[in-house]
Amino acid sequence: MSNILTIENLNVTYRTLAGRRHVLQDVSLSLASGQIRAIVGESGCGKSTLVNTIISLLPDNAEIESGSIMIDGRETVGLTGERLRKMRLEKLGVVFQDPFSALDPSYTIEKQILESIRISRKVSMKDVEMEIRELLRSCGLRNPEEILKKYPHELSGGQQQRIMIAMALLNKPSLLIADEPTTALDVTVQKEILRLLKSLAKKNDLAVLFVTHSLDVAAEIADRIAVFYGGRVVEEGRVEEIFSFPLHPYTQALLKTIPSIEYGKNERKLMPIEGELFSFLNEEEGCCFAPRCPYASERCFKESPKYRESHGHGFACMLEEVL
Amino acid sequence: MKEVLLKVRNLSKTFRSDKGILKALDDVSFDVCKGETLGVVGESGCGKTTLGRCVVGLLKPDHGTIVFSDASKHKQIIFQDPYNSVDPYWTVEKIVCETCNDRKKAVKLLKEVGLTEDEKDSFPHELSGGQLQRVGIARALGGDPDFIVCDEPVSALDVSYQSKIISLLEDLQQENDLTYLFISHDLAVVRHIADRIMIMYKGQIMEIGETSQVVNKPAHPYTRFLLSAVPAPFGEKKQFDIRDDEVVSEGCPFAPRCPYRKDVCLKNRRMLKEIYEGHMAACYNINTDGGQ
Repeated sequence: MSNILTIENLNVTYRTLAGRRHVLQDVSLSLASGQIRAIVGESGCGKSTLVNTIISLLPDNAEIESGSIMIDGRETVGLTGERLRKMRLEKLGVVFQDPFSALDPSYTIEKQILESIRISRKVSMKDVEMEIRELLRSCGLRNPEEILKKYPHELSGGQQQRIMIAMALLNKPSLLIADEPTTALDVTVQKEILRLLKSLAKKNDLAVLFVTHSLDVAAEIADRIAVFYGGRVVEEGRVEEIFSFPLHPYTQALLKTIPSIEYGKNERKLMPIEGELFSFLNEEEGCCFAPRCPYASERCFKESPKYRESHGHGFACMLEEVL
Repeated sequence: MKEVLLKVRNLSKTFRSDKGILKALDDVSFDVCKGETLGVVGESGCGKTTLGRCVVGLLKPDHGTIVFSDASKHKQIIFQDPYNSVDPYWTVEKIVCETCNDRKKAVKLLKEVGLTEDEKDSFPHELSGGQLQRVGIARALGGDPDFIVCDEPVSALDVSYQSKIISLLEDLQQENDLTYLFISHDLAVVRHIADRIMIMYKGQIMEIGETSQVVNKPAHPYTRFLLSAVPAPFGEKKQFDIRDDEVVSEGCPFAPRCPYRKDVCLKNRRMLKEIYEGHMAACYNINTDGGQ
């Protein structure tokens, strides 16, 4: 298996009124074809910044300080203009959280899909009609003829998201980035979309980077999970390891805050994580989770923990050294 | 037998739009006992929010009755989106005073829900979603209610805030002897907080009963379908495949998708039928061991 996405020591900062803020710190990730990797974290943990960095959609006040992002063996940091466009066109597919805002409300589905094909190929609808229908069918839309004639508002949320997935796959990318694609959907529709993404990854040997705030959803779809906090990967490993042997105090705490369908009223007390969510605005020395961490010692507030890895399960915490 | 606080009978509400008539609530009847939490679960558009709003009087139903027991005092509601349910130009204290009209009490309530006195002069945009939802809860408590409709109170919040708000609601219920109608699309949350659970689909009640009964021995095919969609890390997941036929059902609203459909399901609506003490489902093919 070859690595489709390799991120190494990525550092991204934002210039703000309060000064420079380190939003991604030493992020390293790799993703092979056919693999689904979930990025899990709460609001403000830097997961959207990561996505925007990979697809080069960072705002003007952001800067990639160091690090590299290789997609399919090609460095993408620093690409601009025609070369960036070409890379996005050939290698990347993106599915956003809210399909209704991602689709243009004033065009029919047919027109929107055709538009994205025409960027690379000069074709008419007749030439590609069969191809599009086939693609929509493979994304679980049963009557593509009808759907192509419709406007986005005439479709359900699930159908809209299927269209988005189909459009992301139009140019047969090697990497699909899905940024909270099911958050706006009902559980039953969510399940169908997750199933679809799984089968597409398998069938097309596609690498999928799946961003979500829900550990449960991540477990449902991914092979491996990277837990983000304060712009850093705090833990990374196989799904089973993350759930059965979480090593980082944040992952441990997160697992205890989620209600489970297994336990009823008064059968299990939820253990909320104390303190407020991490904010880049009050950046401090030391470990980003230290202010909320039940095990934090003095050293945790001074030093940043090193990321350590053994047997493919890594985490960034000094707990063992401290105790 | 527990004391019944709220009796809802044959409640119906329709909305007219240019696409036709939408039955948001279609002949819904249930009881809520004093001190319990009744969870209402369903997909978007199933009528759960309309139900909550009818119960507190924000919407006028077309038919049916909503009767609170004589002992009942006030009813309140907590909304889903904390940002859109408060006035952005009001301070936190003023928001809470809207229901209790007493500044001292407002400060006391803010403390009770876990905010500090310094935060009483803050404006909504200065607070996080979790803090603001606490303001929403304090405002509801200001009306001195014994019954609160919680309309998706944690759906808009981050996971680490979710559990704090859920724990807060649990504590408040015990301290103040509150009764909740807890509306949510998240079965895991409802499983955690509710004594009884009511499953709705297209404006009708599909199943109602004690939470553990309904989750462990679901009787209605729709309940089983919903449960199969809950993301769960590992463990034996029950597959439940539905169909998607283009048939019109005048009976059970789930019939077009139900794998166990009989002809009668399309013609007649089955009313709720008791399977086990207090556990009722509206389906023609139920046997009591939970199988079909």
